[in-house]
Parts: sequence; structure tokens; C-alpha cells
Amino acid sequence: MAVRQIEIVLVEDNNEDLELTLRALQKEHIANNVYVARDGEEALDFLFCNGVHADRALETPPKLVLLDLKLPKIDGIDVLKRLKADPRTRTIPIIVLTSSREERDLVDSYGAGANSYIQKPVDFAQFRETVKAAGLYWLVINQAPVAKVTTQLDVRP
Amino acid sequence: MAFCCALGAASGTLLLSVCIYRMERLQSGLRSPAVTALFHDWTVTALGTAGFILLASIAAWASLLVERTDAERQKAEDSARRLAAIVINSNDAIVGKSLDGTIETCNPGAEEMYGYSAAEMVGHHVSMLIPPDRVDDSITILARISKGETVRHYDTLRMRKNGQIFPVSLSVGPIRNEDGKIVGASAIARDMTESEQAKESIRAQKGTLQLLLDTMEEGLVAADENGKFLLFNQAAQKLAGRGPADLPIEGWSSYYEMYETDGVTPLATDQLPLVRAIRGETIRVEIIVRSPRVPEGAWLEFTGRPVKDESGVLRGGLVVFRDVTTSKAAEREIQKLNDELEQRVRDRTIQLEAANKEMEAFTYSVSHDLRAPLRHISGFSQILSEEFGPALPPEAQRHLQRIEDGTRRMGQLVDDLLTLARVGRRDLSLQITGLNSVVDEVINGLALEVAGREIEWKIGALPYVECDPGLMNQVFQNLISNALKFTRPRIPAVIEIGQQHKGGATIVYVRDNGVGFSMKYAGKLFGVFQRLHRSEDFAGTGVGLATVQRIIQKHGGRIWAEAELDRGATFYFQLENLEQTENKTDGATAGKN
Repeated sequence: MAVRQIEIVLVEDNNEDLELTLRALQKEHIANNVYVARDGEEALDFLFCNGVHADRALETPPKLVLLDLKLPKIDGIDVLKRLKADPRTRTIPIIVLTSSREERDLVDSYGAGANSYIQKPVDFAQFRETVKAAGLYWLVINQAPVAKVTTQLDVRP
Repeated sequence: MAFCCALGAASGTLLLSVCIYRMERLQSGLRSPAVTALFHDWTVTALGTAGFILLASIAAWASLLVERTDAERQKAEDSARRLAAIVINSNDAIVGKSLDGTIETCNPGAEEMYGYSAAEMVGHHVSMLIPPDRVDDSITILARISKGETVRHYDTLRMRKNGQIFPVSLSVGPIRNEDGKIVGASAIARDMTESEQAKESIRAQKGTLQLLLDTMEEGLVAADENGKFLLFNQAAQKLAGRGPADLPIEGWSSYYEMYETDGVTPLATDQLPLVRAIRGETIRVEIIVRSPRVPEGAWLEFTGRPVKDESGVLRGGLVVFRDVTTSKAAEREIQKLNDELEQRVRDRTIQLEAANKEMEAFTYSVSHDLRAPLRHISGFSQILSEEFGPALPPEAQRHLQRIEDGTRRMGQLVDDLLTLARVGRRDLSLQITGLNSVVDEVINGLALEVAGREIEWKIGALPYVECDPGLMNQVFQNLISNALKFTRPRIPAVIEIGQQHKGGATIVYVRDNGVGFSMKYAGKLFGVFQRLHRSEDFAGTGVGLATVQRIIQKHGGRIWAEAELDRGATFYFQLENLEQTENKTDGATAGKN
């Protein structure tokens, strides 16, 4: 299966934010291969290769997850906790990308193992700059661990 | 035999008369210590004339029966002398009188006691020795004597020559002639003045003591080591509702209805205050005592201690107690009010916590949900101008720009308000902080804003203070940003930051040479959304200084400003814990261990 590797998983429920974020990523040439999850459950299904994503290989995780906090079904903090609690997904860098910079959100996010926390600026120009800087850092500058997941859990016939 | 007796008695009487008659002359010669000592005791003397007469009679009678020899005569005379000596040396007044009361004989004791000489008394009526209102007494006594009776230890009054009346104990007996007929009376009077005084003194002491015991408001009860009550004053009877009872101590608790302070548990015998005192304890306890008088029970406070004699042997115990029901009721009332107050504080706290939670939820929601649409407006208007800008007429482009500007301002306002709300909710995390390093950090962070401007910074030595460094950063951030903003028209802009001392307090100030403001509006300076300048001239949300004031107040300090229109402004603040620590070099560790 020659599926293109997903570089970024963007977890975002709001249409406008989604469009603006995708536009920023594309305009700044950060990534073309983005998987969009519209709620927490979908994000977990994709990343753990469950449900409709059962045929996806866990061995090829995305390079980065951009995670909103206020999400339907399973909220961002829970998604974060589950990904960081599982050895198969623990090493995936996760950036919390959200509107607020409430202390509670910051504390909870880092407490659950977020690799970074970014508040979405109101000004779109600034937002673009921010997305660009974050993308450059995590996809280009940062050295990710070799994506070799030793998973006996995922032995399929 | 009867004759002999009569003769003897007559001789005795005669002898007595002789004795008394000769007393004066014999006085000096016969007075001897031995005789005095022999009859010193009052009781012996008080046996009185009767015994004396009997002795004399026996002596006389014997002298008739026995053949008289010179030696015997000598012996009888000796005996008479001895008897005379007894009479003479007696301290008591001994007076012989006729039945009509005429004094016939008297001893030196009488002279001394009454102040008359024997010559002044003999031949006169005995009433001269008696207070006028007691003369009847003497008549009564003489009447009894004439019937052959004797009067012993009769307490009455006598009068001295100088008119002084004094108490005496009187013993009177009849004097008979040889026929046995009563012809007079002998009266022995003992001066009781001293004895009466002693009695009076004891009575007075007892009276005073009793008065004190009866007067005191505290109950006082004492008992010996066996639990026998020695003392139970009036107040004790009133407070206990009962008097001393002849009961074994095991019966006290139920008889006196004594309870523990819960008012229902009967007090065990070994817990009774008096019992504990008797057993050697010094105590201070409170108990409830019921009685028919106070059926609901009185709250009594007892102090008790053992009673020991001089050699330290336990002799019993005593308790003093008083009614503290009223003060206990007041105490309970205070306690009740305190409880109510605490409950009210708890209720309020819960309400406050609920309000805080609501506020938090509100700001959280604002933080998340209010910024998102602004971001969308900003985003899509920028996309519009980027992608379709060239196709739009210039007026449409200007409108788009206004939308973007408005959105940015709104975004700033939301952020500022959230900061203000955060300051209110946040707990201070205090550290000793060097304000110079805070100011340096803030100025460095403002590099972009000051680019291209001519600014003269005058930064003086600032103190080290105990504060929340993050919030203090916010304070200088806002004050310095303001200074920069309002000095925009100035070349150069002069911004001075320093400290001054006033009455022991250290005051930090930020001064600029900017456009200033009229002090008329100084009261509005720190209110939320209050602005003293038009936004066309100087942009701002009107939240910055409100935030600064909130932070300073949270530190227990105060902030104020002085300004003059077009002549610059100075903001002063003073923190409660502002302390001069100039000599310290490391702000993070100074003052802490």
C-alpha cells in the first residue's frame, strides 16, 4: 500500500479555524499532507488505527499532531492523555493549538505531556507567522526519534 | 452535843469577827507567800465563807472538848491566824453585813475593789457598793439569806467609789449567832471585768467572723476528714438550696443533686469538690447543682483545698463556690453568636467560591470562544484583501483595513480584560525580587516599540522587594508602555524610574515628560475602560492602569499619580512589604534562607 505518509494530524472542529490553519500551513509550505480529524474520537481512531482506520499501519505515525482543546466527544486533554499513555504513540510530538492561554489549560496540557502550547493569535498575519515557526521547528529543526515502533500488539494475519 | 455545836459555832463566829476586825493589824505580820499560794486558786476561795466558818467552828468546838494546854492554845491561835491570812490575802472582796444590809466587816480586797477604806464602809449600808438600779437585787439576796439559803456565783454589777460600775461574780452565805439564828450575810465578790472583757472579745471575734461568713456571696463549706460539716455559710445554703446534712459522703451527690456540666450525669462521689478537697486535692471545677429553688440547675464554680494542721496532717477540706450561671449563659450566647458568624462566613465563602467558579467559567469561555470569531474576521478579511485586493476599489480596501484594525483592537481588549481577570484570581507567589532586573527585562522586551525613537532613560537604583515577580513585570510593562506612548510627541522622550523615601516608606516612581493629563481627571485614572485621551491620539483599551492598580492592591500597597497637562506624568507606588535592601546583590536569594 503506497499511501503517502501523513505528516501532520490537525485536530480541529471549527470550520473557520480549520480553513485558516490549513491555509497558513499551505501558504507557508509547511506540509501538504495533512489529516484532519474533526473531533477527539476521530483523532484517536486515526492515531491508534481503529475503526475506519483499521487498515492504517501504526508503524508510520505522523510527524506532528496539532491539537485543539475544546473538541466534541473526547476533548483535547483526554486525547493528549491517551496518546501519551500509550507506548506506541507516546513519542509523537503534540502541539496544543488553541484560543486560550488560561493557566488551567496550560497546566493541564503540559501535565498531560504536551510537547508545546501555542495560543492562536487573533491577528491572522501573526497566526500565519506562528504556524510557520512551529511547523519549521517541529518538522525541520527538531530531531524526532526513529519511527520504529516495536509493536507485537499489532500483529495482523 | 447540840450545845457543843452551838458553842462551837458561836466561837467560830466570834473568831471570824475577831479575825476580820483585826485584819488590818495582822495584815503585814501574817501575809506569807505560802498562805497566798495555798489559797491562790479562786475555786477554793470561792467555796466561800461557809466552809471557812465550818472550819472555824470545828476548831472552836474541838478546843472545848480537848483539855486545853498551852500548846493547844497556841495551836488554835495559829489556826486562827492562818484563816485570817486567807481572808486578808484574798483578791476577792469579802464583806460581812447585817441582814438589814449594814456593812460590819470587810477585807483589804474589798477596800481595793470598791475604792473605799474599811472605815468608810463599816457601818454604812451595802447599797453604797451597788449601782442604784441593782439595789433591789441586794434586797432579794438578803431575803433569801435570811431564809437560810446561799447564793453562788451570781453574776451582777457593783459600783466603785469613783462611780465605775463593774461586773462581779457574787457568792453570799448566812452568818448565824450562837443560837443558830441568822444574823447577817457574808458576801464574796470577784471582779469579773477582765473575764468579761475576754468573753466580750471572743464574742466580738465570733460575731465578726459570722458576719463575714454571712455577708460573703460565695458559698463556703468545710468538713472534717470524715465528712462531718464544720462550716456551711448562708450563701452556701442558698446556692446549694440545702443546708448541711448529716449524711455519709456517698449520699451527698444525690442529696445535693450535683451533676457534671452536661447537667444529666450525676457527679460520682470521688468527683465531688469537697470530697476531693478532703482527700488532699487543690481543685477548680464547675458543676451543675439542682435544688427545689433552682430546678433547672445552677452552674457553680468550685475552688477547693485540703485543710491541714500545723504539723501538716490532713484535717479536712473546704470549698468556696459561686454561681456562674449568668456568665456561662453569656459565654454560651457568645459561642452561639460565634458559631452563627462562622456559619455565615462559611455560607458566604461557599457563595463566593461559587461566584468565583462562575467568573472563572466565564473568563475561560471568553478566552476560548470570544477570541475565535475575532480571529476569523481578521483571517478572512486579510485573505480577502490578499486575494481580491487588486480587484477592489480603494474605498473597499480602506473598509477592509478598518475591519482589520477593529478586530485587532478588540483582540487586544479581550486579552487585556483576561489579564485583569487573571490578576484578580491569581494567588501571589512572593519572592524577594530586585526591581532593577524587572525594569531591565521590561525595557528589553520593548525594543521593537522604541525602535527609531530618541529616548533618554534615567534608571536609578531600585529596591529589592517581596513581590510576585510576574505581576511586578506586568506593572512596569504597563507603566513604561504608557510612558512611551504618551511621550511619542517628545524628542527626546525622557523616562525616569527611581525611588524616594517618605516617612520610612519606600516609594517607586515612573516619570515621563509626555503630554500628561489634568489632575481634574486623576480620579478616573485607574478605573476600567477609563481613558483620558482620545483614541485617535493615543491608542489604548483603558484596562492597563486598572490592572496595575489591582496588582499593587493585591500586594497590600497603593498607587497614585501626579501630572500636569502637557508637562508629563509621574506614577508612584508603594508596596506594603517594600523594604530597602540596597546592599543585597542577588534578588532571588536576598532575604530568604
